[in-house]
Amino acid sequence: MKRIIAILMASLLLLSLCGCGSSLSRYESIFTDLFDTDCTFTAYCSSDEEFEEVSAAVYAELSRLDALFDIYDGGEGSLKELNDTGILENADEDIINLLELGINFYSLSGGKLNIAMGSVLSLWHDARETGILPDDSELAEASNHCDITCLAIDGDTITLGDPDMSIDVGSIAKGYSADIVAELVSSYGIESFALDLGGNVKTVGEKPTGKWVIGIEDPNGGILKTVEVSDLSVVTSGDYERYTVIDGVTYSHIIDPDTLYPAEYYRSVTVICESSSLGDVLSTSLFCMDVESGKELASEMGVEVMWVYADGSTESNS
Amino acid sequence: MFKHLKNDLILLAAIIAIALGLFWVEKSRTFQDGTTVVITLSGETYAEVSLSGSKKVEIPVEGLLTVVIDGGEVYVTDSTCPDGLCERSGAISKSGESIVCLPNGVVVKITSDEPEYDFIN
Repeated sequence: MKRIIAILMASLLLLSLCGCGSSLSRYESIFTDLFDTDCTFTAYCSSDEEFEEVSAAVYAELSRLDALFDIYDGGEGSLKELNDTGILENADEDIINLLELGINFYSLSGGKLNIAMGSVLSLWHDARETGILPDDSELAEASNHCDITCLAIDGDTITLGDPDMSIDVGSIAKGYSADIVAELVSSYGIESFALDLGGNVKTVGEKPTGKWVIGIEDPNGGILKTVEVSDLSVVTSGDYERYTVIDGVTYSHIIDPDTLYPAEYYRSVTVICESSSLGDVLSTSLFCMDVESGKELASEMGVEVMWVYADGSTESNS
Repeated sequence: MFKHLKNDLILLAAIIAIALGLFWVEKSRTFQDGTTVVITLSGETYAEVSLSGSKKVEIPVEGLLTVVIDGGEVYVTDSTCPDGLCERSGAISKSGESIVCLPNGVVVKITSDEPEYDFIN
């Protein structure tokens, strides 16, 4: 009897050693035609079919959100329609939620995050395309049309009270979308996955081998710091993601609402917290304020932050 | 009695040895794939090549984009894209790192079964 038990137990050991670790494989999809950046969906799935089904759903949902939030090429029901006509009726729930996030964060960030400064941002957008700096007088005139209190949401109707104002959600749309798409992926029963929407990384669960490893780029080359997380978002705003060089000077894409020029406090700011939406609004806001004000806001919000200066030195609040 | 015990122990040791052996084979099968450079074009995998050795991959985008793999490093050259960001991003060498050329829809990424970095911000 004892013999049989011993052999049975040994056989169980044999089975368990061979069986584990081989059931889930790592899969990855990279999309280059969404949100004007590169988006990666990484997941541990049990079969090719399972991943392909989820990946197709991720792409469809990201496409839907990108089309809604697109102020350049968006169609009917998009923020482009709101900017063009000053009114959007029967607005999609995701547009309303995103705009409410922007409105709430305007005051929390002391005005450093302003989704109503599309008029100023479009001048900088043109500058990146043409290589010609915007006039200071043009910037000053545009800044007269950035009053976020003119953006009104009543039920599912959105109106812009100033015909010369426009909405630009580039600083918050990717973070919000990562949260929405993560919910969708979870509904498929996937327990270990991550989304990277151009520097907005959202992780769900752990990898079979442990935590997700995210490298924070050194603006002067290489990797500055490694963070290991699970069920957290790591969002970086950096001046090296999107920029233009005009007459030998580099201009990044993150514009300080107070100076109307690219913010130059840091090379990058990384926020670690659960919500990717919060990480995105905070990293943009913190990029535009001095480190003391930033530390206050970070502790108020209960998030971990790393600031990277031009010389590669860093500061963190933990 | 003792003879039985001895035989049992031998059998047990043999089974554990086989189990460990199979486990090792399974593990090495999973991890031996090594580090590869995956080149995607418009979301589809265009080429997968080993990071070792020296080679050039020409991507048939509008105009041209060449991926060079040499000495464990990967970089992009000869790109006809308007912004040239892909060339300016320099060489990458660690798994998880990538070079992106949005105008051409090309992503060059170093991957492995257990990449050093899952993402780089």
